[in-house]
Amino acid sequence: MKIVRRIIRHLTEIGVWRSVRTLVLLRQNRRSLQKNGFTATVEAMNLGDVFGHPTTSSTKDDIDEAAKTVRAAHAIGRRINATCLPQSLTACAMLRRDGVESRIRVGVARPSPDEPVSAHAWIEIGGTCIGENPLGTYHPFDGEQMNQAIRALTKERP
Amino acid sequence: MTEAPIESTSTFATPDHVLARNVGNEAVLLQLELEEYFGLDPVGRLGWELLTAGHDIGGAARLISEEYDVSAERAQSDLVGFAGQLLKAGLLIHVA
Repeated sequence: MKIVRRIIRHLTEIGVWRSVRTLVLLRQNRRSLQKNGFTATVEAMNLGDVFGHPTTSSTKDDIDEAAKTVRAAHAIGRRINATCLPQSLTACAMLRRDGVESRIRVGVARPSPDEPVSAHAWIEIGGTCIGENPLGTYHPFDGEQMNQAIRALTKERP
Repeated sequence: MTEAPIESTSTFATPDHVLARNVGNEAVLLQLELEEYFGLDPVGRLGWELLTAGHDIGGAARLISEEYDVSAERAQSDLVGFAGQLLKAGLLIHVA
């Protein structure tokens, strides 16, 4: 009963159509990341420079609506064991297809020299982190440099 | 193909597919071709910054020896090993 209530709450909050789109795209992106790797997946999604600076400003309504898409990617991603990267790729693709300028940020943290580097990906719109605020923990790579690196690797690929 | 030996006059550059980010006094390198992250401690970070800024091995070793109070010979020997590891991981390109 508790699970049913949670599913109903989720569908009411996020919307059925958004949830279905998210699930389909998340599974597709997760599979592509596992099979083809990061750069090939980004290239195949044909979203342009996903790490670059968005040029248009966004309204509060845009951001509220975007937050629902990001929350859907987080919630469904957790249920199907998709990590932050497929979650972010999915949310970014859905937002861009809906005409919302969003970008993916990839950041790193190293809590201590004995611990391995940890990385995280999240969505940003017009300089605002959506659905979470990882900037206190993670240090993002320069978005334009990431775009250039992806472009360079794409050119090198036969 | 045989790698050119690393000498005191060797210079290096950052490949297009490598990104660096400072994290505190350390650095993290992202090698996008292999999709791997590498952490550098403060000495490694200084070595990386000097080598990718165009200093040759000898010049970078002299600066490190001044900063960390080690002999230039010891710094150079360590730097040659360090550059070799970075080359092997695809984090540096041997320019000359």
